[in-house]
Amino acid sequence: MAEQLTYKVLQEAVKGTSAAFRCRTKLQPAGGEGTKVFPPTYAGGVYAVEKRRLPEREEPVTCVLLDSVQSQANRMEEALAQAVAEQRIRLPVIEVDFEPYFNEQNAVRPMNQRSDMDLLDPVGKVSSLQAPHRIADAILRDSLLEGKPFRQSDVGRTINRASVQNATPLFELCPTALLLGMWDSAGPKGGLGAKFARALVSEIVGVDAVKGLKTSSRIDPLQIQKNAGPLYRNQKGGWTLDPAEAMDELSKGKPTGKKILFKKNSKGKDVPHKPGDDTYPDQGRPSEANHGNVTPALSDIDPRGEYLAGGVTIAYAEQTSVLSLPALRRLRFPVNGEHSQQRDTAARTVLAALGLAATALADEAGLDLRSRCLLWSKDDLIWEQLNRAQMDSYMVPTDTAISILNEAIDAAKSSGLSWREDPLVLTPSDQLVKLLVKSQEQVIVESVEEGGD
Amino acid sequence: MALTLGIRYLTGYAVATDQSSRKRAEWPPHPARVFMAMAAAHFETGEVAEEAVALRWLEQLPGKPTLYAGEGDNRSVVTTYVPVNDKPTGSGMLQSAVGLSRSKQPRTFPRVRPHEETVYLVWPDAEPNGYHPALEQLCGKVTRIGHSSSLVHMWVEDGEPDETLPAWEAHDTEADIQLRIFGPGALEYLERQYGGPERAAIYKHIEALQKRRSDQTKKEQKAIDKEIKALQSELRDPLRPTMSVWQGYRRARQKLDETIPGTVWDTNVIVRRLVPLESRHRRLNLASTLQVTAALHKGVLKKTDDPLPEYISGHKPDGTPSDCPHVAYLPLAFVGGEHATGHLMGIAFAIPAGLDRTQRRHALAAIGQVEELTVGRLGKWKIRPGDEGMVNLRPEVWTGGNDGARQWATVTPIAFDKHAKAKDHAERDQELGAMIKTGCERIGLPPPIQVVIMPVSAHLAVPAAHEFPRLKRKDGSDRRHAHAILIFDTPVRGPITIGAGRYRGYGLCRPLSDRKEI
Repeated sequence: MAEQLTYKVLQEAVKGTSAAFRCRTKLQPAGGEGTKVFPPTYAGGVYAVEKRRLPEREEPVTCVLLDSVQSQANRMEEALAQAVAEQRIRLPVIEVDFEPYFNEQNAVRPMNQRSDMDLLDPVGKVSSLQAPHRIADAILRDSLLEGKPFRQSDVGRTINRASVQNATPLFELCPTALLLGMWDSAGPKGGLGAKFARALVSEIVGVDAVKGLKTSSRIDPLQIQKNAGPLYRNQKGGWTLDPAEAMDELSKGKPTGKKILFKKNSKGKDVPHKPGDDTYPDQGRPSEANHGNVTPALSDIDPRGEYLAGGVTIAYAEQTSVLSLPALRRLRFPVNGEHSQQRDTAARTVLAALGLAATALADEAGLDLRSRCLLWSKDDLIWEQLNRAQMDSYMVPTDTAISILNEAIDAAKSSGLSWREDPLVLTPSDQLVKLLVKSQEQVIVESVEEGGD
Repeated sequence: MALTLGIRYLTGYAVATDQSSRKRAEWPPHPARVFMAMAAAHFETGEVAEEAVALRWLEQLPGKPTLYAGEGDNRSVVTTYVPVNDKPTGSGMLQSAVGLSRSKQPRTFPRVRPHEETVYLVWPDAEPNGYHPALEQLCGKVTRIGHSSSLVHMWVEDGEPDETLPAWEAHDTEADIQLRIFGPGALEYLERQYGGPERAAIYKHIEALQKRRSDQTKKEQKAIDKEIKALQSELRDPLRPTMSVWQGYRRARQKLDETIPGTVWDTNVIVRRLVPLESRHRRLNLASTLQVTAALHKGVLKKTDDPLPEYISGHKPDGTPSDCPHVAYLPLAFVGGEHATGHLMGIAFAIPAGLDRTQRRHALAAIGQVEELTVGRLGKWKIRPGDEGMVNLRPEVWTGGNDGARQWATVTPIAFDKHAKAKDHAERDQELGAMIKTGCERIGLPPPIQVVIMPVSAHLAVPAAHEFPRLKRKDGSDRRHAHAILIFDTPVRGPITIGAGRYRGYGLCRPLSDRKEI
C-alpha cells in the first residue's frame, strides 16, 4: 500500500538524484469496459496507431493514441485555471482582458453600424494558461501594461533576460512555462529567445484497440424534401428560394437570365440555373444548407479495407505522466544576481508540486477528451519515484497535492522569491482587437457559406 | 574495465526523427545524438570545465561504442497542426481559448516504443579513470534525447551491462543499419555551430550601449542606435549541427548452439530491403521471385572482379554448374500474420558457411556494391541495407535464430529435380517427399521425419504453388513444384532453401510457430 507523499519527501527527491516521478494509470470508458471510444483523427481521417507487445499475448496488439502530449498539457492548464478561479490554488497568471470590447447589442449590428473594435463573439479574459505559447504568446506580446507594450514594460523586459541560469522572471510571472515548456521565438531575440524544454510529459494510449465503424444519418424534424429547392445564393452569401433575391450569372458584365445556385461545385466554381427549369444540380438541394434527411451511411474505408474514424474498442487506456527531476534541477533562480542553493531547491520543489497538482486536478475534472471519449479511473493516482536502484510509490490525491504546493510556495517565498497571487492584467492593443474582430467576421462569413444564414 | 552510459526512456517512448526521413523515428538512438544531448546539457547548465574535459576525452575514445538496445515498434506518423506565434489570429480554432483562432503549421513527431526502456552505449576498452565523476554529473543533467517529450534518465555504469539485451556492434562490411557517430572535435564543432559565446558578447555590448543611451544627447543617441543596429546585424542564428559521420552497425553475432544442425549457408544472412525507385508498382508479389533474383545475380556478378569465383557465380571455370555451395538469394516476404499481404519486402543473401575470411570479404564486397536493381517491366528498385525494424526482415524469423525450429513450411515452392513417376496420388507424394528429404541432406540437414506435400503454403498470404512461374530446364521443359511442410525430429537452423531452384529463391522455408503444432 503506497503511503501519501509529503512535502519533505518531494523536496528531498528534488534535491537528490532521483530521475523522475512517474504515474501510470489504467482508465476505462465511462460507458463501461468494452464500449467504444473515439480517438483524435489526423489528416486523412486516420488514427495514430502502434503495436505493443504484452506479456500475456503471443502477437503484438494494436494501440491507439487517445490524447497527445500537447493536448494533455492543455488539459492540465485548464484544470489549473479552474482551480485558480475556484480559489483552490494561488498561481501567478497574466490575463489579457477582452471583456470591455464585447457588447451584446453591438455584436448583432450590421457591419456598417458596428465599430471595428466591437467583438462579434465574447472572448472574456485570456490568460497565460490558455494562450498557446504561454507567456511568450503573440496575444500577450500585442497587449499593453500600463499603456506600454507588455514586452517593453519593466515587468515584460525581465522576460528578455530569462534563461535556464536565470529562471526567476518566469517563476514569478508564469511558472507553468517552466513546467510545460516555452520558447520565446517571437520576442525581441526572435529565434534566439529563451527556450525552456518541458519537464512534465503526459499521454493517454488505448491498448488492444479494435477499429469500429461509425454510422451517420439525420431525420429532419421538418421533413424538408429533397426536391424542395432549388436554393439560390443571395447577395449576403446565404440562400434564398426567390430568384429575384438571387445572384445573377453574368456574362461580360450582363445578366444571362440564369441565377447562381447556393453551393459552388467541387472545383470552386459557381453553378448557374435557369429559374423555372424542373431539374437542378445538387448544388441547389436543401441538403446543401443542412436541411432534409441524410441517408444512413457507414464510415469511409481506407485502401487497406479498414474503417476510418469509426471509433475503437479497447481493453483499457493507459495514462502515463512523467515529471523529470533533472529538468527541474538545471533551473536556477537568482535574486538580484545572487544565487542560493536553498532558493533553487525551494523553487524547483514548487514546480514539482505544481506538476503533481496539475495532474491531480486534471484527473479530478474527468478525462472528457472529446465527443464520445470520456474516460475514468477507479484507482487513485500512484506516483513512482524512480531511482537507479529502487522505486518508491506514493499516493497523491488532489488535496495532498494542493497542500504540498502551498507548503512549497511558502518555502519559496521565505527564500526570497515572490509569488503573485492576483493576476497581472493586460489590455489588448487596439490593433489586436481590430485584428480579432476581423478574424471573427471572417469565421462567420465562412460558416455562412457552408450552412446558410 | 569498460565505460557504459545507461539511458532510460522514462515515458516508454523515444521521440526522435530519423535524419534520412522525417516520416520515420530514429531507433536505436545514434551515438552522435546521445553526444549532442550531453553537449547541450553542458552548454545549458553553465559549461562546467570538468564536463568539457570529460566530453573531449569521450570524443577521443578509440573504437566505436557497442549499443545494447531492444527492438522498437513505431507509431504511425500523423500530421499534427501546431498554433503559430508570429500572428495572434488565424483560421484554426483554439482548443484552449473559446472565441480565439490561430493559424497552424503542420508538424510530425515520429516516435517509437522500445521493447526495453533502457539502452546502453558501451566502450569495452575504455578506462574512465578520473573522468567518471564529471561524466556522471553531466549525465545527470541530460533531460531528453530527441524531442522535448522524449524524457530520459542517463547515468554512467561500471563494466558492461546485462547481455540479455540485443547488441549492435560497429561493422564496416556487414552492416544492417547506419548510425551517426561522433569523434575528435565534435564538441568544438557543436560550439561553433551554436555560436553562443559570440552572441553573448554581442548582447552584452548592446545592453551596455542601451544603458548609456538615456544620458546622451540626441546626436549621441543616434550614433548609439546606429552602433546597436550594426551589432544586431552581426548576430546569427545557431546553425543546425549535422554530425554527418556514419558508421555501419550490425546485430552482434550470438554464439550459436553448436548442437543444433545448420545448413551449408551461414546463419547470419545479409538482409537488404527492396524499395521502389522508378516503378509502376508499389510492391512486388512473391511470384516475381525468379525475375528479382535473376536481376540480383546479374548485378552481383557485374560487381565481382574476374575471374568469377564459384562461390559467387555457381559455375566452375569451364562453365559447368558448381558442386560447391554458393551465394543463394532468398525472397523475404510479408507472410504469416493476420494482415500479411504476401509482397516481397526484401532479399537475404545466404553466404556459404565454409568460405575463408578472404572469400567471405570478397562476396560481401560484391553484394554491398549492388544498390539498384532493374527488373524488366517491374521497373527499378533500390536495395537498402537493414531491416528498418520490420519483423519480416529479421534474419532469425527466417532461420529460426539460436534455438532453431522443428517445423518449417515453404514460402516459395520447392522445384523438383525430376518428375515423380508414380501415378497414384499418395505414392507420388511419397516420391516427392523422398526427393525433399534428399534435398535437405544435400544442404547439410538431417532428413525430416515427415514431409507433407501441398498445393498451398502453411504460411498465410503466400501465393499457391500454381501462381508461381515454373523453372525451366536447359531443354526448355518445366520443372514441377509444390509447397510443403517439413517436420524434423529435433530443431534445425536455417536458412533452409531446397530443390532445384534453391539458389534462386525457390524452395525457401520459414519456421512455423511452435505453438501451432501440426
